[in-house]
Amino acid sequence: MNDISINKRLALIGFGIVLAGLVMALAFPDGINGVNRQPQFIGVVELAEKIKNREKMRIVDLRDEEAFEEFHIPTATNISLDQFDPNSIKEPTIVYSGDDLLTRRLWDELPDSIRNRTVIVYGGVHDWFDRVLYPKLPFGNEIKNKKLVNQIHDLCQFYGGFSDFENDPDLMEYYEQDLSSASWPKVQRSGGLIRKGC
Amino acid sequence: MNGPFYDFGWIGEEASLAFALFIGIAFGFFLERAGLGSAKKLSAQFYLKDMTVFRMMFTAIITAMVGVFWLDWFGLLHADMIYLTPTYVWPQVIGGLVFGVGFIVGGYCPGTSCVASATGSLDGIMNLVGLLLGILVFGEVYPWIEGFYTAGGMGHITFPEYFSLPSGLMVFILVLTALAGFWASEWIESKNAIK
Amino acid sequence: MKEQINNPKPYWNPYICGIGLGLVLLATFLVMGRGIGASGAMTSVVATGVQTVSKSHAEANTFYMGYLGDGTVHPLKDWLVFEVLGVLIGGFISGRLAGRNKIKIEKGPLLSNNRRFLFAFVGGIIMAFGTKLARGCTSGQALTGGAMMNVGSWMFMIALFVGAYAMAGFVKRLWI
Repeated sequence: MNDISINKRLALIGFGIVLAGLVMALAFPDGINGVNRQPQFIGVVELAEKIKNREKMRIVDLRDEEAFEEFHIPTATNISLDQFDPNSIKEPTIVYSGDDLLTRRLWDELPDSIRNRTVIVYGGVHDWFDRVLYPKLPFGNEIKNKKLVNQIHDLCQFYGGFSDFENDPDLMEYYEQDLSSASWPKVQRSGGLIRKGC
Repeated sequence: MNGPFYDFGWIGEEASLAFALFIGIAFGFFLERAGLGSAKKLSAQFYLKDMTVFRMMFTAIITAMVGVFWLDWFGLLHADMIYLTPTYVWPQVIGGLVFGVGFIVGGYCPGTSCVASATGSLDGIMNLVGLLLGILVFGEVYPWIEGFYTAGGMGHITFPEYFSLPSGLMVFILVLTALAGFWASEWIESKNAIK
Repeated sequence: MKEQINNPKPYWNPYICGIGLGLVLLATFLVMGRGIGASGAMTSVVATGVQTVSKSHAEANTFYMGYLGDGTVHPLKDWLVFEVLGVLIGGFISGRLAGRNKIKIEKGPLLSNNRRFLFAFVGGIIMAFGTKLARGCTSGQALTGGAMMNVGSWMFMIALFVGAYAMAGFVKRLWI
């Protein structure tokens, strides 16, 4: 008898917690104080175009000095995350890291007022390599957006990379996604000793 | 400090392995406590005599699900960074059916066979040996079934994304379903006990 | 309170154990950004075994290579392997505390010991095939993926119960 009343109490508590969750999720979909608000992203292609056109902007590389010296996006300055003072963001600033880890940590710590002056490079150096410097591009007649393909190819040559052409129209999916409503990229991280699958 | 701690580099490799051992101990402890180290109790689930497996499994699932939702909502854990096994419809449905058959024939699942072996069940050890051999067989025939292994790929996808519902609502629906299931399991058990 | 000597203590309330297990799973999500598992560790053991016997054979197989990694770390130095070691220890501790640790064979009353061993062995082989096909077992797919509301995991879980219930009638003699 006692056991049954415990079970009922547990069910009731569980139901209460979940109901509260439902209300909160519908009332504040971005979480408490908007912690899960998605930032404004800039795609690597758009960024590459802007740098090429010599637009004035502040680009900050959040990685450590060693990684910065090995490779960095042209015209970027290096302020590693530990030394980065969020209050120094007076003008709109574009920040990037290796993939999304450091930018995500920065974004978590930023006050809301500074958040809307901050733009994050979607995919960081990882995507700069894979999508601008060494992109895989489609060829053939099925491609709708030939202009974009040519633009990427030109950018790739401008920055000294080379592009691979493959017969697969799906390769343009990445470039055609709408970043204004995008959430953080899902990066497959390799290395380390932890295999994540079962 | 946000989770997942390991991905953000808050804890290192060695600490994560120590943590693995600790998590495993707690995992094994709770499995044994509920009686899931016993083949009789596990198999009784499928003769509707003892619904412990169903209850424990789904309580664990909804506890963790609700926990992830709330931690994510408070910004303590980025749920989208947690590893998801990609969905491949056909191998997972067929694999589930095959697994179910093996489960009732052998009497254990991989985790519980470890617990059974640790508590001295000789059949649990036998099951474990069978598991290792089965994995070897799978590995050997893998080159021939690779096409089927990747059939029906849908990538990393969750229910809220699939149905485009807010995750709070999806959690609510699943928890309600589970609670109804618990109630039904109590009812079935009491009915079978009277017989 | 009448304490019976040599009799194992009763099992805990499954809901309480479920909540405990759920919190363990949640802690794993929070700290590691991954779930728990069991069959993955066994696959690491098998893959390492195959590699020891024939290196070239293991390297020609993409399935084994997924578990052997790039060779910079030993394949057994894996998160899941340590976790499953913990499961063995945890199961032993709990069984010891409850007085349930003894050499035993669990089976239906009409079944001989050798046949039970045979079925446990065959069941293990079948289950291993299913678990590798589905990319995870009850821990790695059903529990972890279930909590993450992973579409494939829920399909696996439903298929698991369907398969087991469908088969249960045919193997009644094993258990009842």
